[in-house]
Amino acid sequence: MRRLYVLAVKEVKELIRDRYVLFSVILAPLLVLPLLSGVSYLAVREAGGALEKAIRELPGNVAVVLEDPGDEMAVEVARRLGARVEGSVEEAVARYPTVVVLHSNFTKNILEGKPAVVTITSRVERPYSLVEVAIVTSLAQGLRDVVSIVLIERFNIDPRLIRTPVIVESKVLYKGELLGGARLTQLYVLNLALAFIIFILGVIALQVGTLSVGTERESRTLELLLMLPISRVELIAGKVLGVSTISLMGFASFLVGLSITILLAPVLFAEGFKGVQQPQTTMHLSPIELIEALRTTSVTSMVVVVALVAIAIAMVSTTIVGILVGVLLAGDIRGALVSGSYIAIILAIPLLVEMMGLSLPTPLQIAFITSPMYPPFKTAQMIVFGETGLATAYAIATLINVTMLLGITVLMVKSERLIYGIRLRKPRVEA
Amino acid sequence: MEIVSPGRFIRIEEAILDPGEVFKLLNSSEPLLSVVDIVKRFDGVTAVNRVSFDVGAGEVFCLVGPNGAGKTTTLRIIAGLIEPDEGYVVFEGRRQPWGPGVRRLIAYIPEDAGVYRNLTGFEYLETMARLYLGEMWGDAVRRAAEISGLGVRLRDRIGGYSKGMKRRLLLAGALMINPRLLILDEPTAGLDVTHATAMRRMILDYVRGSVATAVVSSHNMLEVSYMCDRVSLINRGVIVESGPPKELLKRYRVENLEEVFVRVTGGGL
Repeated sequence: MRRLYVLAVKEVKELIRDRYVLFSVILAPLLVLPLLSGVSYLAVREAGGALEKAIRELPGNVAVVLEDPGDEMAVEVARRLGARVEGSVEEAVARYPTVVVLHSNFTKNILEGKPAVVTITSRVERPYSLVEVAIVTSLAQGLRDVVSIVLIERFNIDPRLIRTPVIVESKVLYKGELLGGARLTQLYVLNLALAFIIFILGVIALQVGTLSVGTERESRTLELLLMLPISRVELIAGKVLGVSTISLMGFASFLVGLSITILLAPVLFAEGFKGVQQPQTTMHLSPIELIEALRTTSVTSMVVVVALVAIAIAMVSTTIVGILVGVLLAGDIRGALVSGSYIAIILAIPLLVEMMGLSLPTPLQIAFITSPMYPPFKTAQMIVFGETGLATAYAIATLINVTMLLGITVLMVKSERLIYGIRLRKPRVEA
Repeated sequence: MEIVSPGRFIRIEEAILDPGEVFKLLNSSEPLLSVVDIVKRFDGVTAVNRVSFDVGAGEVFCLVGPNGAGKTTTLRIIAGLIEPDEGYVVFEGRRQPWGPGVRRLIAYIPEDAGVYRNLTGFEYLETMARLYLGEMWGDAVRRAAEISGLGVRLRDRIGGYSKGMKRRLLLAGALMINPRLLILDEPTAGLDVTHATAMRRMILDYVRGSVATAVVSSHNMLEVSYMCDRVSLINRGVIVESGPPKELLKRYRVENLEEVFVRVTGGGL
C-alpha cells in the first residue's frame, strides 16, 4: 500500500507540475465548455427573441391577396390569418414584409383532391440567417395549419384525408430581388460553406502551426533555425508558408472525405426517409436537390475571389496564432497537439455561430473580432451580401488583427524564449 | 595552390578569403572575437560571471569545465542566441546584436543539437547550403558530403543515423558554409573514439585551412590537450585559469589538465 501511495504521489507531482499538462488537462477543459455553452446560450437567446418578435408582429406585417375574392375558403383563411386583404400583389409587396397570395380555384382544387396553390413572399434582410430562413419556413407551416383548421371547422373535412391540401411556394424578396426557395437556400449555403471552410481550415492551420514549433523544440532543432542568416520576419514567413501548404493538404483530404459523404448521402439515407411524409414546400431540400442547388448556384467570380482572399487571410493569421501558441505552450509534439486542439476549438466558436447565421449581442461580436478567423470571414460575408459599410469596418478589423498578430509574434519569437520556453520562473541553474 | 606562411598551410581553394586578406589576418594582432566581461543571471543565480577572452584567426579556443559551469550559456551568448545581462561580444569589429550578414559567417552547433529526422542527409545539407550560400550551394553540398564521410548513407533519413553520424552531418553542414567563427558545444560528447577522432580532425583541418576561429567547449580534458591552442578553465561561471595547455601543465607541474583543474578549484565544485 505504502509503495502504491509513493508511486501515485510521484505520478501526480510529475504530471501536475508540467505546464503543458496543467493547460491541457486542467485549464482548457475548464474553459472550453463554459465558453461553448455560453456563446450558444447567447446566440440561441438572441435567435429565439428575434423569432418570437417576428411571430408576434406577424399579423400586422402580413397582407393577403386573393386572386378570386369570392373564393369561400380563401376568404376564411385570410380572415383567420388576421391579415389585411389587399387588392394587388405589387402594392402589397411594396407595403408589407410578408404577402400571402391565395391563387384562384382555392376551394375547388382542395375539394377535388388537387392541391391549392399559395405563394408567400417574404422580405428578408439577411438571407444567410437561420432565424430569417426559419421565419420563412414557419410561415409556410403556419399557413398549412390554418388551411387544415378551416377544412375541419368550416367544411367538416378531415385534412388527413387529403394527401396534399396546399402547395406553398415560398418566395423571398431580398434587396428588391425576388428569390425562389432554392435561391435562398443557395445564399444560405454560400454563407454556410464559407464559414465551414474557414472553420475547418482554421482548425487545421492552428494545429499544424503549434505542431511545427512543438516538433522543432522536441527534436532540438530550434537553435539551428535561429542561427540561420535570415531575419526574424523571414523565419516566421517561411514557417507560415510551409505550415499553410500542409494545412491545405489536410483541407484537401477533408474535402475528398466530405464529397464522398455527400455523394453517398442519398443512397445511405434514402432508406431512412422512406415513409416519412415530405412537407410540400419548395424550402425543403433532399440531398439530391441540395447538390442540384449547389451545382446551379450562380456564384459570380467576384464572390469566388472575395471568398478565396478571406480564406487565405484567415488561414495565414490562424497559422501565426498557431505558431504563437506553439512558442508559448508547446514544449513537445504532445503539448503542441493538445494545446493546439483546445485553442483551435475556442477560436473557432465564432465560425460555428456564423454557420447558422445567428446574430449576437454587440459585446460578443466585438470579442469575436479577436479570433483570427472571424474578421476575414465577416469581411467576405459583408462584401458578398452587399453591406459595404460593415465590410469596410471588418476589413479594418482584419488589418489591425493581422498587424497586431505579426507584431506580437515577432516580439515573442525571441531565441531566449524559444530555447528556454516560457517559464513562471527562469531556470535556477543553466550551464 | 598552397601558400606557405610561418607554420600554417592554407588551401586557398577552400578559403573564402583572397590571399591578400589571409596574409593580413595572419599578421594582424587584432583578435577576431572578443568576449568582454559578460554576465548572465538566471533567477538570482549567476550562470556566467565576468567572463572575458579574445580569440584570434586560425585559433582554437577551448572553454573547459564541469557540467553546470556556464559553458553552454557562454557559447549561446557568443552565438547571439541569448543576451548577456552585462558585457558584450565583438566579432570582426562588430558588436552584437548581429544581423543576417554577420550571422552568415557564424556556425554554431549546440551540445544537444537535434536533427530533422525526416529529411535525408543530402536534403539537410542542401537546405542549409541554399539558406547560407544561395546559388553556390551545389559545390558546398559536395564538399560537405566528402567531409562528413557518410557516403551513401546521406541518402537515408537522418532519423536512422547513429549519434556519431548525426554529429558528423551537423559538423559537415556547419563547415560547408565556410564560417569565420565556429562555435561548438561539447562536439564529441558521447561519441566513440572513431567518431570523436574524426570530428576533431574535421574541426582542426578546417580552422587551420581557412584561418577561421573556433570556440569549443568540453569537459573532456584529454580532448582539449589534443586540439586547443588556448584553454580557459571555467567553474561556477568564473574563468579560473587560462593559457595554452602545455604552459598550464608546466606551470602547475602536473601530467594532465584534469590535475590542473583540481589544483585550481581545490577539487570541489
